Amino acid sequence: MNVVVSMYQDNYSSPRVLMFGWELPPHNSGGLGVACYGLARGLAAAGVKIGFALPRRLGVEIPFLQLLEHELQDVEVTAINSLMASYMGVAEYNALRVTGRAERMRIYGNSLLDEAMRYGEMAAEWSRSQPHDIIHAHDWMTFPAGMRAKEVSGKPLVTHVHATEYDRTGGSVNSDIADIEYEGLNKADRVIAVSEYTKNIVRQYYGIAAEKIHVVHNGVNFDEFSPMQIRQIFPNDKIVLYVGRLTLQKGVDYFVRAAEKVLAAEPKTIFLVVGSGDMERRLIMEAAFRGIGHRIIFAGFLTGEKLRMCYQMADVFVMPSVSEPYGLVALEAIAAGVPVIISKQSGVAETLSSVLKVDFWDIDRIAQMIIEVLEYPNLAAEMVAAAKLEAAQMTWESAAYKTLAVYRQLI
Amino acid sequence: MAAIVFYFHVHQPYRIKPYGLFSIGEDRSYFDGHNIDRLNNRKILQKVAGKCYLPVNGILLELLKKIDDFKVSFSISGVVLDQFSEFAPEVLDSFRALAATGKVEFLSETYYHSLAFLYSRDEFARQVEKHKKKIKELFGYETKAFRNTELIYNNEVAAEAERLGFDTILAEGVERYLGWKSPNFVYRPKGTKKIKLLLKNYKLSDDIAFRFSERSWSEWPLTSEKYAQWINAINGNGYLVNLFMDYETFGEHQWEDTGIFDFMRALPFELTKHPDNTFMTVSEAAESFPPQDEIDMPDLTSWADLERDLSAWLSNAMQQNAAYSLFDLEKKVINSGDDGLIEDWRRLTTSDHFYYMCTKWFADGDVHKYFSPNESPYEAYVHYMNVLHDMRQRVYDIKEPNLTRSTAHE
Repeated sequence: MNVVVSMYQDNYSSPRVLMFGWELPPHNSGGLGVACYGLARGLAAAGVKIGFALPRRLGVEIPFLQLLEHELQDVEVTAINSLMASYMGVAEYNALRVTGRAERMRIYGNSLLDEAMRYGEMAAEWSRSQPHDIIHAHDWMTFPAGMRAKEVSGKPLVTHVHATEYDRTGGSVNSDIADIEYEGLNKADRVIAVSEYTKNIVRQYYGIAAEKIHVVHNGVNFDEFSPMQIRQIFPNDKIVLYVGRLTLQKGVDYFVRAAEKVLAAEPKTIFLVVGSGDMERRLIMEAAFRGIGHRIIFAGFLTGEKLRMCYQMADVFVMPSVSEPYGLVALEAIAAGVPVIISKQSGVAETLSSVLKVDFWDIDRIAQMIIEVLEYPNLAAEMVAAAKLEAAQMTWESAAYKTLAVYRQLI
Repeated sequence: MAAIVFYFHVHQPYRIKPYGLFSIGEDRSYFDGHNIDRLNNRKILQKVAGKCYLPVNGILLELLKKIDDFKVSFSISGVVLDQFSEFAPEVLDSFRALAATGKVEFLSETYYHSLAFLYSRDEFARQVEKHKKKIKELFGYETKAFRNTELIYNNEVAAEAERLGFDTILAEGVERYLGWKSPNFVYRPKGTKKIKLLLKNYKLSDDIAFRFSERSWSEWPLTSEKYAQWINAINGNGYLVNLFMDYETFGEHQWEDTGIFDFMRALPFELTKHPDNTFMTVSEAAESFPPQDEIDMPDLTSWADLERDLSAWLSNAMQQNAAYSLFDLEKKVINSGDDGLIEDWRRLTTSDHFYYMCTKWFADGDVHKYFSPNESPYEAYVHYMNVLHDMRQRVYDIKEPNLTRSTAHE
């Protein structure tokens, strides 16, 4: 009797969660990996037992593989064999599959959608061996896996929205992907949105009832980005920083256009673009075309120490996203002590008041704000001090606590 | 009679290694990409020396010794001469052996195989002067003829060469300017008084340089007998046959197994079978024949690609932005008096860097891809611009050594 009670209590205090994600650091290509990592670590610290699964290309005959090399303490991470990669589009998948050897054609799905479904089947198969109380799936690629696992175990499903197809494409959605999102959001017992901004999109475009959607803001690991001694690569110039994937969603083209205007007033400024993506070549050419190629540096995708150094070097950080469900990079910049200018069309804007907010399309205003921050060090210092206080509230512990509260409604 | 003018161009650039953000301010060895084969200047030079320069110099030396009136002309860029000294001194010796026959002419060009003419006449003149000195020093040869980088040419280039004291200049025989005129005569560039112009016979030159191993070509396989007949046919229609090409054609662009070495070994003998054929150096040809007419080429031409214009180096915004940014630093670099800085900057004026940034992916794109050591033109541009950032700091350091910066968050 005693034993049963204690087991019940254990279950109550430490739910077992099957978590389906896209990627984890250090093998991440965007914020989703950072967010999954932060949340999983926060939950694990709160005693939640997490079995984390992600897609990865494995050897031909290997369906699953427990990954040992990862930084997630106290979490078991399993790779499920798949050709899917984070932030992959339909065309990229096709290119990857077709250029591969014959066995790729045999093993993996005909299309990205097929592959997401096939991945779901594999994930459900894997879930049979994983005792769990809750299933938690992050973004569309893992929704089929979450839904199939729910069919198998009958356990409640939480779908977590970091970005929708609407955000990624600026409205010209791939209807198959939007369909998967729609189904995943509807079949979920609860939906977690990373911001009120995203909650609105989920309500408006996917017709999900507001009561079912819980907002859990992402956190930031402050220590990871806190100031340190670094070499100033550009001792003679002011640095304006962009960090993010180079895609339509992120509005990086507005950054380049604002740069041209800033340079007219502040010629001794360098614009540092950190990230890669399908717009990279177009942006490089555009910078050259505008005659500012010698003032914009394309640093490529950076993580870890190098990314930290970029934050440290920066005099101002700009996030001009067209539609940004959250915007972790803004918090990272603040943690590094950099004043930030962010798009009003972002989730993080609703949690911060000591930042400059601007419409992504208002290039003149973006340029003006950059110049103001560069020219008035007192303004910059004020912004940083106040924003740090605000951002310090945004912890992964707090995000984990709110997530746990959502779980508790279901078990 | 037909005077056959063999003119070979020898050049290798100092390729830039992958140079990212974190190299700026820290790494000043821009050209020592020893970790990556396709950017390892030493390895590339030694490879081409083994496949082309040494064996072909051997072939030419034999021909010069065996055939009394056989002659050839060379232009050898300063940057490849420096790399010979550094990486393969035996190649220099083999060129000296050719020079010692007394039947080899050396031409002047910009030391750095650069685009300087287009951006700075002062720097252009300095680079030509430096090259002239180098040729004198290495081969004891006083140059009289001039070729601009990649045969980039117009009336102004000719006038400038004349001003610098040259008697002869080379250009591509671009049909859109020649009209009915044949490249097989000597001409006078419009606006000049005494300098003479030799035009490349691009049909016959490219038969060797580009088409020799092309199996889809109706004339493949090209034999020395057949080729000699085409040249013989010029007798009566012109005074000279200007066969201008990259020296790397032999053994590097056309590999030895295509038969190009045997072809070259046999061709001069075939040509001597016709009693009216003879061989001349560039300057001999210019001296031997009067200008047939004036040639007016107001626009810039070159020997590259199908367009035979500047589009290989300066057609897109990246190329133009890079070139502008480079020459924007000229005065500060030259005035710095820092020899290392000046040398690095000048190596960046080499045309090849701009060629690697070319995005013409059509018929010529293949050639660009083959000759580019970079993953993409975008990568080439980004690395080049990063090097310029480092260089800008070096210039800055010289001018204001103690300038520090204060930032909001420090």
